[in-house]
Amino acid sequence: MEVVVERRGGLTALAIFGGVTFLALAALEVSAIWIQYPAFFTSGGNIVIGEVNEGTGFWLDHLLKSFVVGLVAGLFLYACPRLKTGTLEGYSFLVGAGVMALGLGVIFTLSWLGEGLSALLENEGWNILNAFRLEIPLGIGIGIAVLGIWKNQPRYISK
Amino acid sequence: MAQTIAVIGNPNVGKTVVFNALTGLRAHVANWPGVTVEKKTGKLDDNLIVDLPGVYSLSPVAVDDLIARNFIVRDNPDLVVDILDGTNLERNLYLALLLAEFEVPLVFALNMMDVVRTRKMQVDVGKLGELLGVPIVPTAAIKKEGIDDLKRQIKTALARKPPIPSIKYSQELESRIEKVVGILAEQAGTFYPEHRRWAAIKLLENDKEVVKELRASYPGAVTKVDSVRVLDDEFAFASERYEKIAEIVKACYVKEEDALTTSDILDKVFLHKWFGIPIFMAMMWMLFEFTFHFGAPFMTMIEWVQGALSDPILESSWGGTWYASFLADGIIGGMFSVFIFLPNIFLMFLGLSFLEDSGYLSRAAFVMDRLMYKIGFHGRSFVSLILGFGCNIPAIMSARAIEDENDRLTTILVNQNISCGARLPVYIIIGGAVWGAAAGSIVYSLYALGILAAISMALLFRKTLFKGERAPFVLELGDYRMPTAKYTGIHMWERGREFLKKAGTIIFVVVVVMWCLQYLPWGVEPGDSALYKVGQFFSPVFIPLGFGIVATVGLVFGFLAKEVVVAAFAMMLGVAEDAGDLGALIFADLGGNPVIAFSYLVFVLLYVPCVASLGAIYRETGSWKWTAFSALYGVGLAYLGASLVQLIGGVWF
Repeated sequence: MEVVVERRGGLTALAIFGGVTFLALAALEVSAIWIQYPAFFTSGGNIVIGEVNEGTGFWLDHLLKSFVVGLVAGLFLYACPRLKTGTLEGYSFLVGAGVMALGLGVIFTLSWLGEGLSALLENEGWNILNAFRLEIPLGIGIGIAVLGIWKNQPRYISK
Repeated sequence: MAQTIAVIGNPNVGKTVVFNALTGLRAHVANWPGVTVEKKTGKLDDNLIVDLPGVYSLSPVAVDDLIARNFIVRDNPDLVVDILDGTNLERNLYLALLLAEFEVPLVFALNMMDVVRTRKMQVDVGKLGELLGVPIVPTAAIKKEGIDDLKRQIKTALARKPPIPSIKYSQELESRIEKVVGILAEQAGTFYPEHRRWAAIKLLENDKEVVKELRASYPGAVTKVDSVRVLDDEFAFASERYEKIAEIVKACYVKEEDALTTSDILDKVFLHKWFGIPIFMAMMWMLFEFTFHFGAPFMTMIEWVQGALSDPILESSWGGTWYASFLADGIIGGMFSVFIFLPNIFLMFLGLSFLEDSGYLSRAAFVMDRLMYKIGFHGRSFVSLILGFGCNIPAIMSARAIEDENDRLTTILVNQNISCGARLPVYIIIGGAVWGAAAGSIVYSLYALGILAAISMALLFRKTLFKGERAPFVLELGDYRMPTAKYTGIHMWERGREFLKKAGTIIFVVVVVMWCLQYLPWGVEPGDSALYKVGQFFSPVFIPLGFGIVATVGLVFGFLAKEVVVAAFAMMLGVAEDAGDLGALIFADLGGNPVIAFSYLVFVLLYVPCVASLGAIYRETGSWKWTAFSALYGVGLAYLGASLVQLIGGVWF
């Protein structure tokens, strides 16, 4: 079965937008390691491996977050050239990246809610910017847009 | 009189969902093949109903196949209900024909009719029943559609046995069947007397089990049968069955040409040769991030309950007595040091159930197979390893579905490296105290380390203890499905319930024993108590790793159940007001050194999961040698792993 993806321009633009924004967020995450642990990139020694009870961050945590966010960016960017040529693989990668972005947005939302509720329950007050991440609106927004495209498959795919 | 009904079918066709719907039970169901590895029984009215492992044929290749096949051919159920996947009729009809060949009263349930409708397929159920000569009930068991009709059909079939279908082969094959039936009637009168035609077909197909049975009772008959058999009989029978299936499908099945499914789209990404494994790693990271952060407010609520129960005791007039301490610090403090992690454990099981029900976990096994193939390990083993995230015991049992004995033993022995839910409390309390909000990533890294250790040990075992060719890996990938809240909730509860049961039994007993040991001999200082002496006895082994007496006691009692590690700390360090305080006390006990804290977590990850898992290894291997080996190599690997963490951590950090 030959599948041709229609309306390629709009889909490619969405994939580029998703790829570039998530790539920027992954880069920000890596830069947090640089800022908090400069020795990590220079000497390779004497690095504090975690801050006791401070909860401000940890290089492994930043590294893993940048990996996951970077992976979503990679999926969007991988889709771009394939969408341009109208292949099913490009469409699939756009949908897959959207699903991952939505998942990431939901997970970060739940983490944010968890932290906020904990603070409220312990009478510490909820600073809503605490644990709030840009991946939340971006992931959920792009994810919903992609799900819309997926739901209206006949508009974008012809066999 | 009570009768027996067997529920059978190919893997992942919804047998257990049908079984649950018929019996009202809640046996574990999942969107991947090989979940049922043993018989499960329930009741339909007064009749016994048995859920059998999924099989493709009645010729066994793995332990679970043998369970299903033996039940059908030896236990002679009064009725067999074969569950067919309506979306994949061609494949499912093969087993249906084999059952018809066995000449047993049959009812077919044509399941997944909801998916059939969604995919715009059409099945002429009436015509299908007519061609097969068996009553067919269309069902969508997950939505409870057709279940009442199926119950009615089963009752009717039990009351008035339905006509037994007859499968006829070409004249050439029929004449050979007739000859073998004659030989059996003449020389092996008691050999499957009610299923002689079936036995004849199996003997002509050279079915190893049936030939072995005949040789054991009537060796002379085997020689005669051998003289009738033609070399390609096995293929001739299979080929004629497939021809018949093709005719049936053509007559009653309309499939929209090349419809694009969700699986067609998502599998291009999730099974991609470069992105597949990173996506799996990302999914697992999201699972632990969710588990750690979303569980935090619920932990606070449980702390409130603990305070509400223990504070009135300690503040009462008898607050200073030994029995008040026993109740508040021993029972309540000890048990709640475990209970407090219930939200995290339930959330992790919720996430795992979601991934499992969606169909993603079978994809994870598939993408990991590419990596496993290179090291000679079996992809099916990875399914067992993933099940170990919940509990190692069912994961060890699930290795029954692995055909090759070397692969099966390897899978059983390396499963203990996979981090189960019981180890989560230790990771969370120490991880949270040392690394704060980044503890989710620490938990993730420990789970990833567990997978890496399991794969490395599998490589070692396959190169040394279990040498041999790697068996081919066939895993059927079911469709992606949106998990339903009901089933995902049920699965979460099933797994979490085991944890609760353990808390009410073994953990409770161990906590009471530990409290008593802490105060014995009566009147001594805590440093001279029996519990402390236990720690002192084992501490020379752990001193090189920097683990003190309290940490040692945790590891020793953790051998019984991993949850007890935290309870031991809580008891010996004094029950803290909340998990954060207890974590800080534990961290201080570990010298306030993050490297030692991480090496302690690695030790907890790699040594024997619990005494019950050793029992499961013994049951599955039938060997004390392998059971002892598993315990010893686990401790050795844990020691090596913790030492390596300290060595590398000492140089780098």
